[in-house]
Amino acid sequence: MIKTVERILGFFTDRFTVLAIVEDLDEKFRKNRRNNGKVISLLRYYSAIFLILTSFFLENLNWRLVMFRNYLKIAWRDIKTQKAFSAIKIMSLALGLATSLLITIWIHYEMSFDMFHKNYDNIYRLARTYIFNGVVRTSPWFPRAIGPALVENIPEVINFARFDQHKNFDRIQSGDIVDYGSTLFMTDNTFFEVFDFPFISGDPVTALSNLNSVVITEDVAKMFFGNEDPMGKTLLFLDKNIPATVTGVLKNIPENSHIQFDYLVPSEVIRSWWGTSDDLDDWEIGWANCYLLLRNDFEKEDLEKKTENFFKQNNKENGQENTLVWLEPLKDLHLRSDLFWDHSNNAKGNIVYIYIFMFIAISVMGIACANFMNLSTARYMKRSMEVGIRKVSGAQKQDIIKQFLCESLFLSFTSLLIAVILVFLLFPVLKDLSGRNLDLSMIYTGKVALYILFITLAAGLISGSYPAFFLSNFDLVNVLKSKYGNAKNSILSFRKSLVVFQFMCTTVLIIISLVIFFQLDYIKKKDLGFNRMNILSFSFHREFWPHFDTIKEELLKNPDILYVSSGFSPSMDKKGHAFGGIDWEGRSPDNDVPFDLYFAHYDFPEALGIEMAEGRFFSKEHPGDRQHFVVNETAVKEMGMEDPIGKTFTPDPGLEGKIIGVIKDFHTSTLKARIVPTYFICKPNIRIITRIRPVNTAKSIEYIESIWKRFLPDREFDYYFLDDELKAFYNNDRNTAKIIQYFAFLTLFVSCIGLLGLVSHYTEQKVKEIGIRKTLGASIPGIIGMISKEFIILVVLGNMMALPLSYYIGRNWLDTFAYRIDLDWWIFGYSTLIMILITFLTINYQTIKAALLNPADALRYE
Amino acid sequence: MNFLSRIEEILLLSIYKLKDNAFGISIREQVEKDTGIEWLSGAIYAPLSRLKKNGYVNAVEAEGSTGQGGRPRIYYNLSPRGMEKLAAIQQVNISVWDGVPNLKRAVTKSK
Repeated sequence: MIKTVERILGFFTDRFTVLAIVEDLDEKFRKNRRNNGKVISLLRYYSAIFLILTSFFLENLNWRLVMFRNYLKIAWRDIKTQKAFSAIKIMSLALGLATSLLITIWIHYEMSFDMFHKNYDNIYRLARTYIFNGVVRTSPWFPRAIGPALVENIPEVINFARFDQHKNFDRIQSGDIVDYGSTLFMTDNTFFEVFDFPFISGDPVTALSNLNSVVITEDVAKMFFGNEDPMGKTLLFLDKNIPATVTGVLKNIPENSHIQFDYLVPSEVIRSWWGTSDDLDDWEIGWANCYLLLRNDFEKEDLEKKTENFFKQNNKENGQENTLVWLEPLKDLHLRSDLFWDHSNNAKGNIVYIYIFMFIAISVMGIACANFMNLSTARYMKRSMEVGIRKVSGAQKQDIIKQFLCESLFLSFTSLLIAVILVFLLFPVLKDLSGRNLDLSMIYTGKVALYILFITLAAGLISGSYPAFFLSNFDLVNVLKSKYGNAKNSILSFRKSLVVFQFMCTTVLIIISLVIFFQLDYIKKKDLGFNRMNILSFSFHREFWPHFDTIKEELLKNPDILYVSSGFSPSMDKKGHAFGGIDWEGRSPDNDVPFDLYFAHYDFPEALGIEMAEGRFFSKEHPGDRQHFVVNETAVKEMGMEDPIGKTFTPDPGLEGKIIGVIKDFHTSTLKARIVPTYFICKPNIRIITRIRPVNTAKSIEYIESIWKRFLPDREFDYYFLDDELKAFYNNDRNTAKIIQYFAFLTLFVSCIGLLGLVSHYTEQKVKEIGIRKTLGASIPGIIGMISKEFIILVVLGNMMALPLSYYIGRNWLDTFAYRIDLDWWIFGYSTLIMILITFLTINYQTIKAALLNPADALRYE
Repeated sequence: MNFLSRIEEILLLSIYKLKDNAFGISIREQVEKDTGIEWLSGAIYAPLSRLKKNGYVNAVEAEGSTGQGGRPRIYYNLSPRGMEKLAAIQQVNISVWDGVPNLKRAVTKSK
């Protein structure tokens, strides 16, 4: 405490005085201590310190404040005399600040993933690249045995954590309460040594030592046991009918964790649950995600090589020649990881969006600062007289600089105040759009608050610096004679380049949002090969399995339900899974086509509205169809098969069958993936799909629910409309697109404000020229054209300069879609047109006003 | 000539009176004794540091003699400039008070 006081005092005064004060205070304290209690003397001690600090602070401030107050007074008077001008300046800076603040909040959240782990920098996930039947795959799945074995054999590996994730784990029960579809991990005690998921109760060292133990989260505990103590209570895993005792309760998993789970059970349970004998030590089967805690001094490449060799030695089947094993740092998992089989990475983000938003934040700030500079410079030209007077009365160059920096800091901090209000107003919108649980309180944390202050300070200094240094350099005599000399030209070209820069940034954002808009529109209108309307589906739970035929029959009794089938749904995100090693009649040996497998039962094409290209689909009348196959058109093309009906098709040795039909191509998953060769198997699976009449929808849903309740009475009815699900595919893109569009609009607005300010200043300067032109016979449209031309050239120039960057970004984004629009010239044409139109509208009022002015008014003072 | 503030004047006088024994605590005590009121530390040390900054007093770190907590004790003495200033103030004081009787007696008499 006293050290800090000493340091603070050190700012105000010399070391000697500090020492004298400290000694005096100690002395006073001791005297006090003799007569009074500890509390009272301490209180007196601290209040004395406080008073000393204040008096020194005031002592110091007083002298500097005198001049400062004068600067502020002048700044305030300037704002008052130029109300509109100042409002524009402050508002555009406030908008810029608010925008970049909001983006900062979002980026900060995205970057904060997994940071709460103490060992954040030293945790790595094992990943491997391998080739499976000719297809390159990446995966974080490893045999369970690898974790302990690596710890034992490689000194750099301190510890491991592995888990085997089971999403939608069916039915966990305690008393009357049943939990469906939660996430369950099979893991070990080391999980808590590597990761920091804090315990509310229970001992992390032994929580999972016992075979029949389970660790749950706070929410799960509340759901099952309310306010009772959950420790030692029993949960039933109904599926296996196995009891487990609660041995630990964790705090709820933070939302910015890439690992999300509800239950943890020991890895050993796989023996009793699945009856395998030695799964934990087996190198060929039993897969888990494996995380390693590494020593600080490890060599990444060396360790990867060692791990790879180790893996290949032990795993005969998967450790082939072309397998690569590598390490992914925990800090990359949320934003940069892109593994194919990565199902346990919750709410995965995308670093590209982070970059786009950083670009937006920086360019909005840049535009706002440019505005500020531009308008200030325009204004300061008029204040050169004031500068001259100040100089005559003895102001040094640095005093002038100080004054203008003070003024611009004053304005920028006023803007900050407005920006904070704007942030509070706009924050709910951002939270809604981003789909993340953002927290506004983030801006109160030290780092962010410092960052905000820094930006404001920087904005004030940067935007004030040009006018400040420029004005302080004015030659005194010229200024007082109202001559700007050559300065005028240089100042104009500087301001022009600022305008070009502003419109370049704006155009990039406009083109990106146009591209996104047209692509999303294309997706909406694209013919997917099936009719997406009026298709209602629900999960094909295991309780329904034995009753599928009855359910179908019952459903069809309702005249509003047209078709019923079962199988995969096109709304499943399958990322184009493909299997190789498929054989067919007449295959040339080098033709290895990877196929996708698709489950579909009778009436599938009718239900979805897909047509057959050739042959027929599976049907009830042909009981032998269970052994046969249907393929899609792409498959026929890739196999190079002519007249495919009746040909033999062998997806797996021993699974030989005939091709009985060719179904027309349809999109089995998102438009981000190509349509791949696909074969269909006649089997109900995953979903029960119904096509209903567009009328009486509510009644139909009620009817379907009644049938659901008959077979699965204790579970909530849960259904999906295909149309909505397909929309959800692109939710992330659509939300991001919306955010980008909002920001593009904001940027455009800020740029236009700047342009408006500039044009009004420009016309004011040109009043006399316009007057002379008019007396010499110039027409009004001619004058409007003359002024507009100047600015439209700048805007078009900015537009041109924006093309390469926006083409690059647009191209990159479109590349994430397999089916996409072309990046045609007309998109760029559109943006140029929009910009010219907006420029014209913005400057219109001012130019017309200038052109209509009576030349006598303009010239009469001469 | 430049006038000093009253407290600055009192401080200079205290340091003068204390001679070799002028350090933080003793100066404060001297000021309190002479004026008869308790002073806030800030009100003493802020002007003291100003005096030092303007070169009226010197501060010396005493060797050997340490104050509390092992920190060196700081002694103050008048610089030649401070001495001159004090002398000038004295002249001014004498001339402005010249011809004024003991006012306290006059006030008590009139009551």
